[in-house]
Amino acid sequence: MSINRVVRENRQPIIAAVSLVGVVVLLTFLSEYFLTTNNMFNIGKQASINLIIGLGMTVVIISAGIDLSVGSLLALTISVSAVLSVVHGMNIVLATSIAVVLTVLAGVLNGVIIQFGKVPAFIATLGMMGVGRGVVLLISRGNPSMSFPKSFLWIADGTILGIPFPIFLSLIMVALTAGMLKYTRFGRAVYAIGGNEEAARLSGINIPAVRVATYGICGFCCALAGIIFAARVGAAPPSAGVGYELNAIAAVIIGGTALNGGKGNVLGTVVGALLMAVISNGLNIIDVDPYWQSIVIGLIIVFAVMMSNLRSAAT
Amino acid sequence: MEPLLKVRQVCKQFPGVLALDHVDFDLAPGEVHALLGENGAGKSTLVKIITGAYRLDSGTISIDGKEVRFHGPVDSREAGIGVIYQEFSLVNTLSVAENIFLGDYPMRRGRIDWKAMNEAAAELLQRFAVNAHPEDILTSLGVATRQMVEILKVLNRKNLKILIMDEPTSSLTDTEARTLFGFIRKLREQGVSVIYISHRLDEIKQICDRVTVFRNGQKISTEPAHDLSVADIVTKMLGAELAEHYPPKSKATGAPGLQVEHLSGPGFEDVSFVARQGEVLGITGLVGAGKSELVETIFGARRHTGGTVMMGDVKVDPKSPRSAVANRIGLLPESRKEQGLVLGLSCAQNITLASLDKISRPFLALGEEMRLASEKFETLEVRPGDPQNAAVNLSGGNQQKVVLAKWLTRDCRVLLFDEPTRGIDVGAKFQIYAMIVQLAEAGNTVIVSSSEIEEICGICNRTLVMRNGRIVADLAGDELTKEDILAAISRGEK
Repeated sequence: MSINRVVRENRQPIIAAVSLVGVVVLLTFLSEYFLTTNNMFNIGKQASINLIIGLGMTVVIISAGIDLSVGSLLALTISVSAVLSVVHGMNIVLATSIAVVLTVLAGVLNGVIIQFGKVPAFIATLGMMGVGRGVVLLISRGNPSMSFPKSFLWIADGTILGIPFPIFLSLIMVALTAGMLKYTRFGRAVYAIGGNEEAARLSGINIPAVRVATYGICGFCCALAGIIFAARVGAAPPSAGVGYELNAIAAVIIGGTALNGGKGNVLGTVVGALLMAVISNGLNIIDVDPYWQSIVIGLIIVFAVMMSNLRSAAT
Repeated sequence: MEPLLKVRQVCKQFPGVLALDHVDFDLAPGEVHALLGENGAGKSTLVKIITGAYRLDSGTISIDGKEVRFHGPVDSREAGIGVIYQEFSLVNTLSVAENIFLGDYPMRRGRIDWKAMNEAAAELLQRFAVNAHPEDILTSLGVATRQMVEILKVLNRKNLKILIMDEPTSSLTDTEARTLFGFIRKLREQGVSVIYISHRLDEIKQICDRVTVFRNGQKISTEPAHDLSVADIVTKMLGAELAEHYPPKSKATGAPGLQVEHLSGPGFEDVSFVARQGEVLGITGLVGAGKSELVETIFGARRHTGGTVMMGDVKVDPKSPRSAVANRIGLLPESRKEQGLVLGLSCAQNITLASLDKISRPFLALGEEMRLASEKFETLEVRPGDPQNAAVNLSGGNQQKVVLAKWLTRDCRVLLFDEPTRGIDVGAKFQIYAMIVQLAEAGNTVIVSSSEIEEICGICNRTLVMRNGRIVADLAGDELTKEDILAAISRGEK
């Protein structure tokens, strides 16, 4: 494949990557603390939750779907494992495993409702967003004080080969998702369904199975992100993950995955999630009012898509 | 006479291709001027430059002797240029009248004058003999009728000087096409000039005054239509003589390959026939006779309400496309962009889409995928020849070859072609005919559904004729002629 074509077909992730480098260079000049190993690890840990959810979201969006329930699903994992382990004294590993399975099932349920109930993804997952959050409040009784055992906190603070575990886990998930999308039949089917569902159907692709699986995978990503979140915070706030769906969608879109499906890749999402994390970290370091963060991120989303669309329209 | 539209030395470069190479083109007032050429020859690019959809790199365009510079389709519209595209620009959820007057509703005291609008639309529909009511919502109408509405929408504009028609008859029946030609003649009398693009060469002789042929971005010639024979035109388009329009027919015949018994579904009823291995079996009839519905149902893309389908001794009830594909039945659907291809994926990825099991071990062998795709690209002479190109970048004929390549890769034993050559150029047409015959001779069962009777006569060994969802004739040998087919279609039409 020629370099020219690679550039032409990946304009938006490239714009995002260049912006990322630019922001990093700028912040390095503005603060001597910015480019330290410690701070880099911090950014990585901050980015990991959004990135892992973003991976699931990437799969869903490439298949021309959307998942608004990711924040609630993340909270579901946290609360179920907290309630089981803290309130009922269950072994933490078992409790967390049950929580993960339940969250994946909730994701699968999204897919089933969309595929067989013929409900648009936006509506079905909007419903799940509400239902999931309600379940979380119901089982935790709105109690944020449940705290996880010390050993559990290793997930956020521990390291493997000198790399903080959340970053390590993110890297593995990135590799798995990218490999799945590029090198498996399932991955190819995800692109085909997102690009043209009718043509995919007439080529013998098993649409229901693929669709349900994409939402199941997204649920699994939310569960993993939930575990990291729980270990970082050490507790189970019922409001965990509120607004995360927008962050995840933003990372995916900044990374150049098309919102109407059929096109996109994991690397773009990685860049998108890192860019968001670097900006919020940088604004913190240089003492900008944290309320500005949301404004800046919002502008970046619009600007990234605008740059890419303006240039592709100019034939 | 001073030309109405004068194009001089226009060039347009796209990444990798010079789409227009110093092109001159004149359009006289009140003439119907055909633009011909294979897909990718430059006709569409020229049209897009004339309408302002593309900007030219160099050269000039003048209308009525004045040089014009269009910055977008709105400018050319202001200048009196109207276009009818292959893909419709209609709002399907609005009524016929609303579509015809879209953007220019008749107003009275600041409000839309519905009565005037509907009356004016009714008058237009009647003048053009279109079978629709002004208040019909478009989704309730067939494709052909929608196309008529599209045409009426452009014709309705008062300052119309130049009308550009891109394949206007590709979804019309013969009767509708004749009505359209009548209207084009009326327009010509009123001094409107028409630029007419079509792949149906016989039409050109019927309706056009002059013919301009393009090849590889260059203008080859402009000549009066009555001086040219179809063979002349083809020679100019291809740059070489094409000996025959059709390849020799398949000579193989074998055991029954597909038996359809009492099959019924939406659009057709109680259809039974046997297709043999080695023969090309046609299914023809008018638009709306149930041909597409029948083949799509055999493939499992639509629900059947009764009957069975067998492949030899094996019952292959059409449950879903998935089971059809597993039984090695392939369908080249009527609409390649909506049903045949995932346009955003590469050609190679489209080619393996129905055969992912072949390259899955268990991870996709991308090298093997490229090898399979390159092999098919060579056999079918797909251009441009890089299988990594996105399917969306190919011309219609080459896209159709990619859809065919998908089923060749699947090694289908039964192949269903639905309008296989709609909207594609002569060169690609011939290649597709040759492949159809070759597939049959290799012992496969091949069924071609087409409303182009000539094509059916040209390549099929036998044809079924459908009317109102039923088979009304089964013609082979000496009976397989245009006349016999037309007779069968009209028989009983009292």
